[in-house]
Amino acid sequence: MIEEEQYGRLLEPLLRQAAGYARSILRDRHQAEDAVQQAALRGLERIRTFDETRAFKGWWFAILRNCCIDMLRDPGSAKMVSMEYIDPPAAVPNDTSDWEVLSASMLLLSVEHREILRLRYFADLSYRELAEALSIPQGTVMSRLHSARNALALKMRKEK
Amino acid sequence: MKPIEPAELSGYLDGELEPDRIREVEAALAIDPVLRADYHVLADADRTWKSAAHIAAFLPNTQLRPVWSWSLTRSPSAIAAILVLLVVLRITPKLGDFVAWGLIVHAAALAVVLPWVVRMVQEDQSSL
Repeated sequence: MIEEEQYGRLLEPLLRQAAGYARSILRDRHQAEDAVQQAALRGLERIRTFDETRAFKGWWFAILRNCCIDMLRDPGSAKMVSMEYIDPPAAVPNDTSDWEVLSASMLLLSVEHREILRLRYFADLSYRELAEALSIPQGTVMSRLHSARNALALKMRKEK
Repeated sequence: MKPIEPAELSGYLDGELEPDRIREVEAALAIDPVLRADYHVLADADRTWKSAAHIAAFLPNTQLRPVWSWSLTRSPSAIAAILVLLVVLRITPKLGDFVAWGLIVHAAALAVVLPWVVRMVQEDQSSL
């Protein structure tokens, strides 16, 4: 059984990606930080029931995903800010145009495709972890991810 | 060699194929221009996503505070329950001792229990 201290150690390396992932959904840095905080506490409440044969990262990102969804459902906290308004860091100015094209293309994808792409890239989940986070068989992950990538590539070509 | 399924290009890109299959995909990519073009489309999108993920990531200020403090300070139901307790305390001087203490005990119990009940219902609704 994972104890609180061990939970903290497992969680720490995930926080940076978790914030990026939450930010990609909520489109707001402060809300993303709140979502990560909520998920950290919700995970702590449930850690004693966590089955250690499962992928911890996938399990925890599923909690974070639910926290983000809860925040989006709450009209008091949700902000409909486009991804373009998130200022990219000055250190990577060449990536700005990619960011804008991606932002526009993402809005045209299905929820299912957006979800798996966000978890793959922003959360950097492996196929096993994606299966855990999305509660789907591992064999389905590769085909869903592939179809999401194709759909995105198609939309991005249209956007460009 | 088993033909390469389109989805396996994604598996190859993500390093999720078995070593033998990786070699077969690489051999197929070397001789099949259509497959190679498909792979480049995927790889381009992959680079864009990785760049976006890099831009979005930041280190949040996260603390593993005790769970009860979050519930009591952040839950609107806790505030509502405490208000009920205050109202009951205000009206009890006008009532008999037995009724007054009964109301106080019930209101106190409500103030303690309600936030947790609401929290459990919320968790059920967004359960994993």
